[in-house]
Amino acid sequence: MNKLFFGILAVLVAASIYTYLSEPEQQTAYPLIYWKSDPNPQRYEQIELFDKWLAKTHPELQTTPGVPAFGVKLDTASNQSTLIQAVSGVGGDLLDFSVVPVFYAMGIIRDLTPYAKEGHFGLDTTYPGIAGLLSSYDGKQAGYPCNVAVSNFWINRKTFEKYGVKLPKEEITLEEFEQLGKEFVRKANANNPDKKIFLCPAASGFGPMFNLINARSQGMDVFNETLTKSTVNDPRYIAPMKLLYKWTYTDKILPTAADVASQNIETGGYGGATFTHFIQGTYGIIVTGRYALIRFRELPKEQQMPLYCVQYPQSGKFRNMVGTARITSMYAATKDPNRTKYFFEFLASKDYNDHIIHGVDGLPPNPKFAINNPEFLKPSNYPNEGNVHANELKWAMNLALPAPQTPYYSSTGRDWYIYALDKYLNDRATAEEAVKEAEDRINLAIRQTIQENPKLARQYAEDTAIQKKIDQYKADGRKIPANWIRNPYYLKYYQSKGMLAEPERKP
Amino acid sequence: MAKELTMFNRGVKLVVLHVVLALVATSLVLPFTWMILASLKRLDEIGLDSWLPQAFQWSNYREVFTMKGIMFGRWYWNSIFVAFWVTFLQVFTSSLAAFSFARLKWKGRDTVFLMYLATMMLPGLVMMIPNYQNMIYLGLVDTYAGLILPAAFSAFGTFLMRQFMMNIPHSLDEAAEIDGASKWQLYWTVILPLSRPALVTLTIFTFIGNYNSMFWPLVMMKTPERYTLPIGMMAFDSSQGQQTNLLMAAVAMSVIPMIILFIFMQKQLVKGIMLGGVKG
Amino acid sequence: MLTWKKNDVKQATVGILFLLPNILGFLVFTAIPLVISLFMAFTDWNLEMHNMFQNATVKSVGFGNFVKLFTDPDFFTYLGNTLFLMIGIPFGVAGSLAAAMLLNHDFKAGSKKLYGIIILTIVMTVCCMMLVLVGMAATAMTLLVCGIAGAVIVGGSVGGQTVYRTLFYFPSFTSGVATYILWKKLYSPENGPINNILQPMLDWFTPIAARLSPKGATGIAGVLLVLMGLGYAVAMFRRCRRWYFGECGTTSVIIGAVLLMIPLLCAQLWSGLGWGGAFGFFFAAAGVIALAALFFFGRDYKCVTDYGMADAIIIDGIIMIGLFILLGMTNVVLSMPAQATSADGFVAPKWLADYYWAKPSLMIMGFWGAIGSNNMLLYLAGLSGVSQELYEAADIDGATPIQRFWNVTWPQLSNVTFFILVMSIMGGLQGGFEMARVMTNGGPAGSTTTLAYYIYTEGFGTGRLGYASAVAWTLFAMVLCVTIFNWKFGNKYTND
Repeated sequence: MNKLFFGILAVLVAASIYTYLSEPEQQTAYPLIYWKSDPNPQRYEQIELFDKWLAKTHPELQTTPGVPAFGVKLDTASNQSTLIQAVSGVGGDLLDFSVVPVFYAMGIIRDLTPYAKEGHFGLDTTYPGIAGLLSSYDGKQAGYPCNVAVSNFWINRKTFEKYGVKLPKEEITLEEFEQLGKEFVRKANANNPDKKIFLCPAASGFGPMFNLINARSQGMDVFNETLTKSTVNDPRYIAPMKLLYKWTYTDKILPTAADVASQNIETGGYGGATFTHFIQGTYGIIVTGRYALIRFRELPKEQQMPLYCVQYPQSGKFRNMVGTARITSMYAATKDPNRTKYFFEFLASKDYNDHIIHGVDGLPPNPKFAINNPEFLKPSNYPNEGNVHANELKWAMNLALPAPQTPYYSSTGRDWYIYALDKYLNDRATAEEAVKEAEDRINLAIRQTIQENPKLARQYAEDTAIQKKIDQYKADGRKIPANWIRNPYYLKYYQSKGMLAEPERKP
Repeated sequence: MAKELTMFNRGVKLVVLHVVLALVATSLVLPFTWMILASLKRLDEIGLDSWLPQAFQWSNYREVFTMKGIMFGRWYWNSIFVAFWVTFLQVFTSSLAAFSFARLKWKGRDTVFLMYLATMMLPGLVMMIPNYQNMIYLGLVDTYAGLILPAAFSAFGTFLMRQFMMNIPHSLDEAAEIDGASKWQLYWTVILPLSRPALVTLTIFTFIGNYNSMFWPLVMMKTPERYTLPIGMMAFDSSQGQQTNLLMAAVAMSVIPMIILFIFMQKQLVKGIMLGGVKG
Repeated sequence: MLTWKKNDVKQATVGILFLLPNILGFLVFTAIPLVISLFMAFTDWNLEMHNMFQNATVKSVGFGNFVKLFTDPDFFTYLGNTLFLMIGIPFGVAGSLAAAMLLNHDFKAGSKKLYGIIILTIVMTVCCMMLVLVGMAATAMTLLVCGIAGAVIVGGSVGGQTVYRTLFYFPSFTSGVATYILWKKLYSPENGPINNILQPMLDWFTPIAARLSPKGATGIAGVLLVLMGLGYAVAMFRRCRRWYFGECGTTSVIIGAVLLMIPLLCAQLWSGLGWGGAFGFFFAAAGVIALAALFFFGRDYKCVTDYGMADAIIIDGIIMIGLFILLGMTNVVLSMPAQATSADGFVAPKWLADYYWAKPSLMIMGFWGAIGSNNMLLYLAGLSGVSQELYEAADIDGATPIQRFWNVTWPQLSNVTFFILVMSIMGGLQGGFEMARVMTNGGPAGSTTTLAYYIYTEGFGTGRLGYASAVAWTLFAMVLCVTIFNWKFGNKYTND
């Protein structure tokens, strides 16, 4: 027994020592900061780039020549416990989110304003349309994007030429889109009745954003001006949903779920089946952003298709798009704020932005390096990519608005917009019922948040009072003071309509 | 004549039995067959109707270890390392407790045993949230100790060992006592060596259970270098899972230790399950 | 009673010393968390507000969390999901019983010589078959599957029970993240092997089904409904008979009857059934009348009201599931002609990506793992304990194999079955987390979110610790109910 017991113990202790010595902290001679992000292979390149950039731009930080001052390490935990780890004091130094205001309100990320000026990564160095995603509800900068995307409709010109369909104009309307779809599907399927070719991927994918953009183009948003209430149950939101249904089941422009399931194609690489359909020409259009080029550029030269992109189809007067971003923030309990801050400087630097421009992982966070940059606008190696770069940049600068969010409802749970569309498209509810359920669910969640959080409750009471006043002003046809509005969409919408008044004291 | 006929009948019956058993067994094994074959395909062969690869891509198995962001070798090591520690500690603490419950006589022993056994019934779900907070308080989040320590004690293991130790003849104790052995010596030199079958069984159980465990590592570990295989596999699946051939190679490699263990230890294991299940 | 002598104290000290590590572990990792968790369930502890960066005080909300839980539509959806997934349990248990009975044969019975001849025959047959297949230039796939089957049967005939048992046990033994990922790929609607095989079969079946006229479909549906009625009548008769002969108490008979009537009443709710609904109602009404008549006339053999409860719930519960399956099949048959003549014909399901198919997909996977699980080993142990004399006695009475099973094997195994069922139900209530996390993320649209996964998302996703604890304790209360049921009725059932 003795021999066995102590033998095993000795082996285990030796293994422990080996494990300890091979830990990443023990393997590097310099300090590490942790970046909680996704395990995209490009991240690893970006980290390597950071090391080079740091040595180049901040040599003064090195204590021993030749040894980096510090390094960045990826933390790609894919579990849902990001929030829990962060609130418990064990998050990474850098945290990635798609929206930050909620997390700023929880107190888990830092205000970057004090560092932004010296590091040249203020809100003015990125796209105006996404500023709402990376600042707190009271306007403090709480992050900087690693990449930005404006999803739009990409056309494979080869497919369109093959079937003799004319390219639409960039500002396409719903009617034109429907006509285009009918023409495309008719011509494409003329000779092969069993092999199904569709204009677009299934509605369940791009539908939620399509509904939002169309509702917004008609002058409504899914939250009211003060973000205190969901207003999604509105004919202007339901109409595009019904259109998607019609396009799927009556006009057969879009595939049904069953169509998608029965199309047996091999999926390889980034982006999955949808991209493959686009490349093969079984879809004429896909809804995507610049990041899709990561996959398309991997294709053999002769397979690379000529591209052309148009906006989200919309018929309202207020043309808009939705900007999204992967935003990096500084963790509130970071041990190294003075090291971590350099990472944001890096994200806004030429080195990093050039990497994004060449690596096509979305739009570069700092548009300065893309505007008037021929390498970005017309990459010489890829003449086939047409207007996608220029247009996406243009739309990100002019048309993009952030997706809706409210401080009164943490969006960490289920996405009710997707839920509602799913239910409707699968015939489990009518459009009206589905949207009403979504609105009720969101408003219920808002009420619960208010009930649980007394601090928010006070602010909520103020905001609802303002909302009453706004409604009154609207009914009277008066202009609305800009400082009353918290919803970035309405701010821009009223401005474009000339309905915005000078700031006024809050009621 | 009649006897030969029954012989013939028996023969037919046995053949039918074999055919039925083989069919069931084959259909149970088919998913594994697909796994192995898919892991040897090229990526563009994956969706094809034929399961067989055109040429065996053994390099897939090597490639798994060199993928960016997939530290497969490290995860393998971590899993086995953690599972070994847990097994060692759990078997040790369980045998200690079982000795006390099975071989020592003290007042209140059976009450304590029943109470301890009852904790097996408590759902782990109830405790997971405070346990996590507990770990933060102890500073064990994202450490191996945080994975090992909570799993080092087990009511089930204690129960299994006790069931076995109860059946060791009591005359041995008396003999040892006459020799002037202390309780510790009795445990260490007499009872423990005699409990070898139960020790082996519990070892396999604990090892497999821990090797497969997913929930606790999922919430505890955040540095990819410290992942165990199950959560590493999940990270693989969610980040680069579209590379079905490599993913299947990884899955195949991750079940290999279990299969080896099973083939060598299946007799012990079957006995153990019966021992543990008889009374519940 | 508790008078401790000096010697007692000394002995207890030694005993406790051996327990010390376990006691410490129990305190730190079980007892303390348990108390904290109970405390949490009655507070509004929410990590969004109560964390190391925001020092709002945690307030007690009394039973607020539980009230919220019972008014939360999600909770009941997820409870429903959990219970739905548990329907798979009886199938798994039946599968492992069948596997155990197949394995429980003495392969060498007769003589060594006979056994040798059998092995030789099998080896020869397999070789010939493979040769014929190769000669016919069969596809690689056919060769592959036949080759594996051949290898298994040759291996099995030589190795006997051990080989088969090993193969049977594989799926449950390796079950974990690895096999879940494997099944996720198998179920892939676009290029998974399941749909690759299924779709051509459905395409082949479509024209055949298209020939089936709606009238013919109605006819088949009618037959299925009659079968359902028959099953119900037989089960009802059995239940009433047991009551009459004092093998079943009054409460038990009512619970059993109610269970049996549920599918019939559900038939009403189904829209496409038409007259079938009325048919179900008629049968249910007949059952009620029969029971009423029975109670009116009384019986000679009295017994306690809850006697035979376990039998009522288990047997009638299983029959209820069977009736539900018949009902589902009726519906499928009725919708078949329309499906087959539609443009797409039959389309293979999207499995995990489909709202309605996701749960059955998980159940199929569960069944695959359950056949050869620990339950099979427990049954094997149970079967080896059944005395051979009972079988011999049955043979002398000229019992058919089915009678042998119901009169000898099944009653002898009843305690094992009961143990397995109780453990499976307790596991099922708390289960589904790993599958949901690895395979579906609880989706699509929450259709595979079980209570365990719900607790995880609430606790670790949104940080509502108070609410999550309340859900966890509610779940615990359910598990406790099953345990109490086990204590109360387990022994009675086993003594039947």
